[in-house]
Amino acid sequence: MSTITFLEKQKKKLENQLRVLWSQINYCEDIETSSLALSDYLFNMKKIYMDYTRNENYITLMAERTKQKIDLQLSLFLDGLDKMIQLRENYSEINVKIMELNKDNIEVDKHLRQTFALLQSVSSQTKVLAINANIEAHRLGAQGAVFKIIASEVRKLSDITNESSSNITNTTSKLTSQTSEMTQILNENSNTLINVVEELEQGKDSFVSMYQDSENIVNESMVLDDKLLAIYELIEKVNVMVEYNRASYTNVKKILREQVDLTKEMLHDFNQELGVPTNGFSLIDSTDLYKSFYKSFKEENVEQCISLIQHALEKGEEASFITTHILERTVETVGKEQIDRLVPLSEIYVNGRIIEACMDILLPLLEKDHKKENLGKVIIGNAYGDYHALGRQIISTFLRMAGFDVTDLGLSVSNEAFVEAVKEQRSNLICVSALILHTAEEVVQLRDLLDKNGLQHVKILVGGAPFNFEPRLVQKVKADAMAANGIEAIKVAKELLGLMHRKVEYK
Amino acid sequence: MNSKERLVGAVTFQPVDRVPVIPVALSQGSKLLNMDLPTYQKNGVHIANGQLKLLEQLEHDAVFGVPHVVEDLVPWGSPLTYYKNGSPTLSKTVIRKFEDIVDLKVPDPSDSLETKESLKAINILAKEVGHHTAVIGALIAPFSLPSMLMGTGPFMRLLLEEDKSGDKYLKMLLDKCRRYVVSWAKQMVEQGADIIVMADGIASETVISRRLFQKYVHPLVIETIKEIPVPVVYEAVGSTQGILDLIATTGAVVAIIDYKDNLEECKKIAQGKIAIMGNFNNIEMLYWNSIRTQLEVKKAINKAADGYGYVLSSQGPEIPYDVPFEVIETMVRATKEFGKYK
Repeated sequence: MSTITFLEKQKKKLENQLRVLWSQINYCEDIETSSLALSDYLFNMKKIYMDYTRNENYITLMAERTKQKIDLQLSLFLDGLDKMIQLRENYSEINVKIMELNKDNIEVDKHLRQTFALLQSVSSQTKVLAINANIEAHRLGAQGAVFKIIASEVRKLSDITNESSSNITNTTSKLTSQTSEMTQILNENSNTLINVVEELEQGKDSFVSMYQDSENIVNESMVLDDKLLAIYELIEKVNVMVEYNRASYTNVKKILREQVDLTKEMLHDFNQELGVPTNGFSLIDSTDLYKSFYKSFKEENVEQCISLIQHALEKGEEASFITTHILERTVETVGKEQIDRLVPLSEIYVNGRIIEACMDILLPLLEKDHKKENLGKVIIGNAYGDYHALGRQIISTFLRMAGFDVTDLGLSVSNEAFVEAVKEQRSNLICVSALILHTAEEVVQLRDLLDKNGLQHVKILVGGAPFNFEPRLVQKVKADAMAANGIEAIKVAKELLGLMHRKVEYK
Repeated sequence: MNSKERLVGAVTFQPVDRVPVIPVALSQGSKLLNMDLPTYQKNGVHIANGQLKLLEQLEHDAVFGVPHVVEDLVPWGSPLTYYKNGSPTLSKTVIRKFEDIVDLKVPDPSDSLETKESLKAINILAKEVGHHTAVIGALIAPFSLPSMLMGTGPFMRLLLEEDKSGDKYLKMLLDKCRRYVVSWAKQMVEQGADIIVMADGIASETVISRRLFQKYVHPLVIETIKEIPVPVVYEAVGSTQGILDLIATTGAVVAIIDYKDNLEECKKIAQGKIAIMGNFNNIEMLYWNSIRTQLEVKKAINKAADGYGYVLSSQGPEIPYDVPFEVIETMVRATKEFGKYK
């Protein structure tokens, strides 16, 4: 090999290195920018914490206040209950006494009735005696006048005795009946009181358990407050770390710039040696290409994006460099920008169309140069019964761009077809897209069918509205993970296939 | 105050006794009637009976005369595939290429078994309970109908391409869909529907930008609502907060909002202009129990029941078939208990 050829080759390598260095500098700038955004997020998180708790164990205090109120009420309740129990006992005693009194009354009544019977008999005999005395007095004539008076008085006495004993008996009977009525009322009252006390005693248990619950809430709140504080402290640490990282990247950028200058000098030397003028055009070009491409991408200008890539390829830029440093980087940057705002599906659709159009140009070249990154085979399709293609197509495009070999089975794919494709392609990952809940639930059957076919190692990645609404659905349908958008799909697919160091549990 | 008076009052910002509650329970009637879902969905009498049974048990504030809105596609020539645990899906794409739009005939909306049965259901409900409870008819809005006729991807392409390089087929297609929607709504109204819910599946900011909504959806909705002789409830199916101010000027009386929308913020935007309805996460409801539901009801009422103009409900399209019945029961009971307007 001649020296010139050697120098030209080395020069070419240096130029490539320079492009990579510029790309690295740009990445550093991206990281610096996103670090700033990250700091803002962290600041907002801290603010939310401070606004909510004012760092005063807000939740615990509130729980403690509630507990104290319940405690006070419980004391009042228990005090009242004790009094009621005392009352119930007093009532029982009164009841016993009244019952005894009632018993005595009945006895008195009985004795009085006997006495009355005796008195009635005495009165009746006295009456007979008075009548006979009267007859005898009449028979005696004038001598019997005094005796007649006595007989008449004896009769009156008999009548009075009779009437009085009858009155006494009536009064006693009334008294006995009233006492009995009173006993009944007292009995009823006593029963009501017993029932009330019983109910209150039952209520006491739930009151006490309510108090215990409130105590548990206080304890749990203390834990929660501590956890919140721990999160807050971690946020502060992360914030510091982010700042350090930003500073580090600034330094890396500085070092890279020095490296750029050194490479430029070397290139200058090479050019001098080769006798050609130094041309900075291609060096600035890669940065400009990224900026122009990014601008056109944001403006959703497919034609301009394609034209920029074609132009770059014509100028000798490598397909692998464009894929990684221009296309993927643009998608990453746009993805980051989209975190903080609602991105309409129409925009994602257009992004996908641009990527697709660019990949149509780049993929054949990558394959030709054997530089196509192959991250593995992926099967994708809509769940059985699902006819919503858009999401699936977008994910498919993103996965292709990332270097996955994607087989798209299309709309409403039967579980059997998924399994068949997995076997045929020897794929370890199936992506299922579903817009409707009951089609999303088809994934359960897919998992079962895979397992029955000895394909337990095959992972299922799901996506679509029902999963976005309720991530627990992922677990319910026995999927391995979900992805809400294209960028996430790339990341999760890599993780599921063990292509990333960090293993994240998505369930 | 009966349900109808309450609903009308609430959505027009007038004092009413409590927040109205409308669980969008389109399929639960089949459970109450002990029949499988497809049998239920295909028969207007069953649909009406299911709704009446639901009303008898829950005493909520409106009944629905349709089992789903996918039926709107049947008269266009797309048969449905039925499932035992959810809404049917379409089994055919009507428009295969853009050129098909030119010859596409607007069908008579009642020209299918499914839509005929829905009209029957509306008729029965109107006769049975229409004097005290609002009967709701529901349909797909004209902007979203094309995505069902041709697939969302192709429609999106048509929309974006023609947005960029000028109209060719889009206007024609949207106009055909608008005529269909107006005619379908009128037929429902003739049978006794008091309210029409217009579900615009791809009109929210989840799918298109505010600019596209303003340019294509907004005028189309205005034009459509103008011709519907009863109040219209508009549902953008997805994030609504960012376009709620525009929806408020369409002539719709109520806007259904998404679970991700901030209910409090939406209420502020809508206050005095348009009532809002929502916004339980209907898929999350699968995992709720009675206590959780009660908390969600209280949360929603705290956020939105300020100055009337709020109807408690879930987001569209419906409460899934497998959501526990106690959740729906609690949703209604708790709204009655705590749904006081401030």
